[in-house]
Amino acid sequence: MRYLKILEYALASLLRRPGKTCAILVVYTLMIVVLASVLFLTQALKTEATAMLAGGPQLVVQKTMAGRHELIPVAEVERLVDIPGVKEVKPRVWGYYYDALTGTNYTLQGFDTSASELSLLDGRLPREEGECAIGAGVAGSRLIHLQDDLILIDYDNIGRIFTVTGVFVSKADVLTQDLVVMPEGPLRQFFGMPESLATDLAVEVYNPNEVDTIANKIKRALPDSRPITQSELLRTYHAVFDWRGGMMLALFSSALMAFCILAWDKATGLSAGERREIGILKAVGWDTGDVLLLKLWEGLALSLLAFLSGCLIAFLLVFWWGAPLLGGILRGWSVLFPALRPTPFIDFYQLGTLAFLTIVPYVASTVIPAWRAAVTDPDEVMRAS
Amino acid sequence: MNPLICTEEVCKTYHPRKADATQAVAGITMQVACGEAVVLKGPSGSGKTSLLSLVGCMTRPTSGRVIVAGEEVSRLPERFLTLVRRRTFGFVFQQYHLIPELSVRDNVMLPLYPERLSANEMGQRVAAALAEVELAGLARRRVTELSGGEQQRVAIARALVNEPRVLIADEPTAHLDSRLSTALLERFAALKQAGLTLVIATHDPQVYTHPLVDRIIELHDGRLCKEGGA
Repeated sequence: MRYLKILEYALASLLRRPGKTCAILVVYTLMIVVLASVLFLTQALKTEATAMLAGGPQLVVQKTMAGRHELIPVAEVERLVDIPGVKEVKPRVWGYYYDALTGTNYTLQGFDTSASELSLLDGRLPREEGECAIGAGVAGSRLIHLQDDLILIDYDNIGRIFTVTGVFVSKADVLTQDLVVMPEGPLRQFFGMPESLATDLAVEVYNPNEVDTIANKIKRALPDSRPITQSELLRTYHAVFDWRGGMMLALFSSALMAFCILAWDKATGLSAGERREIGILKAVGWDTGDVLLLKLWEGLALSLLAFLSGCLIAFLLVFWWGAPLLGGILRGWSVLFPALRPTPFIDFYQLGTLAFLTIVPYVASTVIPAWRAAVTDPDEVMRAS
Repeated sequence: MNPLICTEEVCKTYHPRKADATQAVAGITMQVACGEAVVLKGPSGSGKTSLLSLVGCMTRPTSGRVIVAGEEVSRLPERFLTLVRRRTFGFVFQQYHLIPELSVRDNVMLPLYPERLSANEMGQRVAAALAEVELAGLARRRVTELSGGEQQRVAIARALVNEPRVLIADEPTAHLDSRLSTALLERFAALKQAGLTLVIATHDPQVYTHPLVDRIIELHDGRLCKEGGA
């Protein structure tokens, strides 16, 4: 009862100072929005990268020349299947396409079984020449739907028309956002890629624990190749997103610093009015614990409201509005990538850390100066004000 | 008769270990009986307010003892000292010390928050205290919208809301004209009649010559220089 009454007084006390309360609330909320957005987006991108790779091949073999990715001869399949432990080798045909019309980048992929693992939002996978299935991002950027035509310019600068037979949906938004899937033959014609070459080779192995060993064997068999394991890709993605997220957090640490300065400024002294109020409360019979409880409620109410509002705004910003500004920086594709709608994912450990790093200092900066005033005799506090 | 309040050689020095150390009270021994109205008289700086603070458990003596209702309070832990202050004393400060942003009702309610009372009980007590000072009609007004005399009545209501045994008033007529001062003293007289003990610090002759006063303690430079009946 006593706690609730003091909470009621604390809330009323915050409302009595609307200007100051709003100013702190806005600064605090903005800081949480920025920090939580970076955390949400980094985590969402890492989660999506993991989901994306989970459906992919265990090992991908690319040919390199002068350190650059080259098309690989399909004939190399025969050499790789002979390596003990290799279950299956499939040449993959895929590539990138810059759509000047919308200023976005698409990934064009030849139809294979991995594409069939993707669930479709609507329609079916393409079966014939002149058909394609597209990701939601492509559909959104081109404003096209099922059975509409998708016109793309091929390697020879000739416009080709593809009928949309399906629109993808996937748990991994990144996986299908920019995807255009069509049968392998038409895609080769589109890119002008000879039948004897493929973009890379997807390798499946019998024992997943042997992937690294088999990758070494492939490297020995094809010295000009670069075998990339799924776990390497995953580590790279995570490292890249962590690094970018870290850079963003480092940049926004200035906001955190500004907030700390604000908190410190608050901690180093109470206004005469606040000191006087504490003196009055003590004089009329509040003990130090009551005053501290009042200030604790005040600090908690304000910081929790700011934290929850900040997290909610960050959530909407990242997962609803597609993280404007931050998305481009963290993904590194800037405007070339179709608009992103990351699948909502929250790491509660990170959120808890953020809460600890912001709520605790703020509450402390509210309670400590009040404690200094409250432990003084009310007589002295009253005389000082 | 056992005294309700007793001080023994009580001293109070502010900032004792600093260069600007000031001895406000220097070895005062006095007693206040239950139901008595005592005036602390003296010029500004004579130690009246400091002695009121000591007697009302608002501060601790540098030396000497303060005894309230038979219990020595000078060395009590802060929590218990606060409890004694809350349950035994009601204060009317010279500057009223109301919280300007709060309404009359909320100001009067302040001493009740730490008590184990329901919202209903709190409301009833506040209403009774405001009725006592004839301010029931102004309960929702902000204290800044009130006149000086009305603000002082709010301060009295706040002092009475916890049903204290002792009312401590510091220069209660300092900001009032003669008519309001008379009304205030009549109110104090009624409270005394109801059994309340009064300790009033003043240098206003209108107060210390009033019939409600039983005893006058005269202070000078923090020392008791004269004590006697009104």
